[in-house]
Amino acid sequence: MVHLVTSDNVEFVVEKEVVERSVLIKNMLEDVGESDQSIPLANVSSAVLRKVIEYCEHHRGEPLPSGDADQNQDETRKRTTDISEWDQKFITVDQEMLFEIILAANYLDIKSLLDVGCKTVANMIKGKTPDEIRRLFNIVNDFTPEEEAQIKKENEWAEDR
Amino acid sequence: MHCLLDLPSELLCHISKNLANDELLVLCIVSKQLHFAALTVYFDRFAGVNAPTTAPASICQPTIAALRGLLLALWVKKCNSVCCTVNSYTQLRFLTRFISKLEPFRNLHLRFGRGMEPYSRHVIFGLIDLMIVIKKLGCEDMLITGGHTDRAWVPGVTDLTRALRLEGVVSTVDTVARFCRKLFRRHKRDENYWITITPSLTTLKTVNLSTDYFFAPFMSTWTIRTLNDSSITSLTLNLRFRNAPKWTHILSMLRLRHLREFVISSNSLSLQCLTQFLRRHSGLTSLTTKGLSLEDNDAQNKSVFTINALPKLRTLMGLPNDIGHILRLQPGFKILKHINISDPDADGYISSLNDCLDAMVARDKVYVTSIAFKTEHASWLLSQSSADSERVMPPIASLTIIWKGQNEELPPPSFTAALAGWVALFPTLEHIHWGVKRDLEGSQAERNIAIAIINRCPRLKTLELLRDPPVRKRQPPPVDVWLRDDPLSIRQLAWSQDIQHSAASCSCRDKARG
Repeated sequence: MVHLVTSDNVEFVVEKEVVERSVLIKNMLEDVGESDQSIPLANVSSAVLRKVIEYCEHHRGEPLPSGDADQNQDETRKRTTDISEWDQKFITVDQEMLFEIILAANYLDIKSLLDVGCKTVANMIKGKTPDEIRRLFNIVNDFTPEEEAQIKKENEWAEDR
Repeated sequence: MHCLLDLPSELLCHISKNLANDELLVLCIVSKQLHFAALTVYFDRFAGVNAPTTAPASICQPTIAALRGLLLALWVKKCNSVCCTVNSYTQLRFLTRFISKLEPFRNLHLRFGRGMEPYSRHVIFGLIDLMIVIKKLGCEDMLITGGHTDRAWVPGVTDLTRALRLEGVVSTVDTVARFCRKLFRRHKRDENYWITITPSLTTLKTVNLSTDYFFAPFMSTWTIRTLNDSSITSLTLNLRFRNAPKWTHILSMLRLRHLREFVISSNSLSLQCLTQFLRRHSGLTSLTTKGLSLEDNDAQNKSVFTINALPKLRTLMGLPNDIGHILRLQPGFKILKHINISDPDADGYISSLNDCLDAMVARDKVYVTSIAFKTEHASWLLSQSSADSERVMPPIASLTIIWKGQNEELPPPSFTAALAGWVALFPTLEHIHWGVKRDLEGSQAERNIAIAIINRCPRLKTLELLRDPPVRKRQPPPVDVWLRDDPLSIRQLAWSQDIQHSAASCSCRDKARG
């Protein structure tokens, strides 16, 4: 069992097999060796870690995506492949949680979870106009009107034909 | 409260990777941070993540999107040179727009694809914009190649003088001319620009025009005007196709005040057209004709060459037929001295040689001449020397024999002997230069030939026997020179790279003598 302490000082006790889906923790355990000392995760809150652990438990036993060899293949496939049903349900959270999960997955180095999060965001962007995207993510348009016009014009050139 | 933009940019890129190209372009507009992320992904998709940065980024037949990716490669990866093919005006415009945002880079090699010849108005404007952008960025060099030809013109962007180096093709001349005119017009107020460009036009010295390509129709009036404004000193016209009206028109428009050397080859130009051209260019010092096929039936035009035509002409080069014709027009070539009869491969070369020599006799001047021969002419040479006729030979003071053989072929001894006999026919010969076969080097046969020539040419002062025709990449052998002042010694001279040069050095000596 592995002891994890979140940023808000909540301690989680997780099975080693589950928690080793995080490359960060896996490496840490390999470096430190067997010990009862708890691992502090300063960047992750308890709410987020709970979700992450839920994800890891569901996916326990699946082979870890390994090596850079498949990475390129992954990248081409990724654009078209959808998120599995369970993941879809799992990731249906509010935006703040979604971004926190992505950040945590990035920090803990859980590639599959990171992919799921990013795909979800990408799906949210797909098929929307720039204005809709801004409203959805509460982004302020920091382009001047001239700059925006120029980019739009460039994009006309850049369209595949 | 976390939002999308709180994510670090590598995560934004990670998200963007899941989007299709057109979606990335939408994302570009949302905000600056997303603009960067989306474009980075965009670039990676086209240029390849692992592209080495030292090799020039290169892409052929790009779609606009790929072009964009490529240019981003310059930006993100800091490549310093780029090579790309432009196939449409749209691409050119885009390239310009995009390059204006890039960091300075070193080289741009722009290749125009087929159907994108750089002479349309659009393209010229596009090119100008591109050049201006590149100049502003301080890039060092730009090479533009046409799809139809591998000839290129190379504008150094920091110093646009090189932009006006012309090579070969009519379309290229035309391009440059158009380019300059537009550039002038657009930047008249920009003194620096003006100054950078103007000397380039005025330093334009050598122009070759040919009908190799079908661009003659684009040789427009104001291209000619540009040429007329420049200080071209050397013009080569190579008119091989039967587009006589067009070229006649062009010739009639050209007024190159500074023209000194003129080379023309044509099979369809009328004598009248040529003589009118020559009359306008009285400063010519050198005229080279290559197969003009001038006909005698132009008899009524004989008067067009007035006695004052081409007063400065010093050198006449070409086929014996052409030279004969030009000389028979009775022009007042006051200082014509050098006559180079060349191209023994041409039809009827040897049969018109006597004609040409007769025409030279008609003028009472002393010549410096070079004549080219081939092995096949040996029998003709023999028949000439054995005819023992009362032929009057022209007053040639210095004769250079140019041996025109195959690569490794050497003149056979029988030919050399025949040539020696023929050379002896010239009464006023003072200097002879020609090559001998290696077998004869320093042999008794060579001595015999030399003695025969010396005996039969009473005024001979120099006999220069060049060893072997020059073979490339071979150290030139020494030259034996016999001088009448010191008849028994054979002096060593440095070998000139080819026999042409010895003709030049000979003429130098001539000048020195007065």
